[in-house]
Amino acid sequence: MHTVSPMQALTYDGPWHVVLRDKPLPTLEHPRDALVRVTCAGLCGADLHLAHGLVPDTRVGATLGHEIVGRVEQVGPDVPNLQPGQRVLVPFNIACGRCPYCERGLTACCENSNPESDVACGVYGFSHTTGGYAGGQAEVVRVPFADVGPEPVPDDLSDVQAMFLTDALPTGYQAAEMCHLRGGESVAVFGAGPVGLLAMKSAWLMGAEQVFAVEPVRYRRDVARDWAGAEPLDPSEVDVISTLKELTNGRGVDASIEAVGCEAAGSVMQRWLGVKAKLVGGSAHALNQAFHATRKGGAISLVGVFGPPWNLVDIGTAMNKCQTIRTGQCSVKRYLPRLIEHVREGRLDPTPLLTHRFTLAQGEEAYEVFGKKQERCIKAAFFPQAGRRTEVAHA
Amino acid sequence: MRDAPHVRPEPVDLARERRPGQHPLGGPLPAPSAAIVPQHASVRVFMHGRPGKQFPPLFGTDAPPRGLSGRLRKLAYRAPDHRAAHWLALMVADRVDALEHGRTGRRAAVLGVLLLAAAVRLLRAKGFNSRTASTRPPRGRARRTRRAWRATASTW
Repeated sequence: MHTVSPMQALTYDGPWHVVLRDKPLPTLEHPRDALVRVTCAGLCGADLHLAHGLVPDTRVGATLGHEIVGRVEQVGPDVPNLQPGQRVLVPFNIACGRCPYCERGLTACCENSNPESDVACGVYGFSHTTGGYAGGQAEVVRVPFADVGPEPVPDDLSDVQAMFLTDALPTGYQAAEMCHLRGGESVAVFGAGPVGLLAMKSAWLMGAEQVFAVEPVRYRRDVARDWAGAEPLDPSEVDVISTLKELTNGRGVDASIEAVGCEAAGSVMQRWLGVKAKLVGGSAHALNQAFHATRKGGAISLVGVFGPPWNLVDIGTAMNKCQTIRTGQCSVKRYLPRLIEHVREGRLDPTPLLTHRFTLAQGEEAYEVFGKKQERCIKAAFFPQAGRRTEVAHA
Repeated sequence: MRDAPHVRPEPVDLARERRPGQHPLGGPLPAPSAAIVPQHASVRVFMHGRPGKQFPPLFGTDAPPRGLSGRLRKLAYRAPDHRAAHWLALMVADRVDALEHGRTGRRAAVLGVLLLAAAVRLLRAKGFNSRTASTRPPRGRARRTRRAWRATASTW
């Protein structure tokens, strides 16, 4: 007898472990659902936080991945805007389109997609703290509220460009936007991963005069300099805060972007308490550095991912320096029209940042290479159809 | 600063009205006929205790709760997410889940039990278990300490 094989998916298997599992194919569970056959799924730095056990209620067997591009396979009766076969990119936020937040464009704050916590909206493959939805590092993914989220991909955009548009590019752009730039400012970006690099480019688009990249990994500093045009600073070589103050008349930069998240290096105490022992929600070292590096009255833009429990944050410094802190998951959907235009015009083309391509079967290796920053990896993505099994014969 | 104008895009979004974060959602919005019917739950889904909120119409069904970790999660969801107890119980449940269901976690658990058993066996072989310690006369520093204690106590 021939039966269709279960699909393969990359799943969480406890802290520091990701394994490939056979899982049942997803089904339409609601009239507003669609099923998407994944052609490209990004590996995000936030996936590492999950894989390292830093986000509460991440369950063994949960499928990872929230940067999804694919072809529509099946749609529910209440999804009139999509057709089977259509190529779509899926914003990482799951949004109903009808609640007061969605109507204001704040799809990252949707109140109808996550029963399990009030701290976030539904997100694909991001623990039950964000609703318990299966992720896109799989062959097929269920897309809830498919009449709102998925965006048809124009023919002249590649799957890789579309994959960046699901999360990293809008998040980087929003990070720069939250700095309230008016032209002529200095901006320090902590972290030169994909989001940090795209934030640097976006800061130029919004009129920044100086952009600094604070990054301990040498090849990433090189990319920040050569691809994003930023001035690189190595925190292991120089005192970053003193250097930034020297370069900005002793005051500090006008705005800082924290694009590192809960695994920031540089403080033994923060690393041991937050990352190794997991007694607090990760290491907030980069954020604390941002407070000190930014001038009084300056802006802090926080897009690095942290889990919900408490952190060791130097909030007193931010308060006493009268700084404005802006933060949030990016409401991807409303950024797409403008950012598709930027990608098409070549002003913000993220394609060179994709350095590594993997099949799902190479998942463990991918997490290793990306997580440990091996082989000069900037961004990795999975191409599930490259190693897809179609049918398995059973006796 | 190093001059790298070729990689710096023109400031075409200097005007704030050109930035998408200033605008509401452009669409597509759900069709007026789109149903907000509740999803049928085929698995156990928890809802944290938030006042004045109904169970949302859609939710995820990946990795339903199971085993001891599932029971701990059920306990955790009795507390709302503004309570530390909610997150602490979830973090404990996560570690139990990894040992209970993770392939690699189980290997680590088995290895841990084996190491523990080996350590206990080694300690017993060296005479460090409680039964022998109570019957054998104390040696070395312990004997000196006990003598000193007896000498002090006899003067009271």
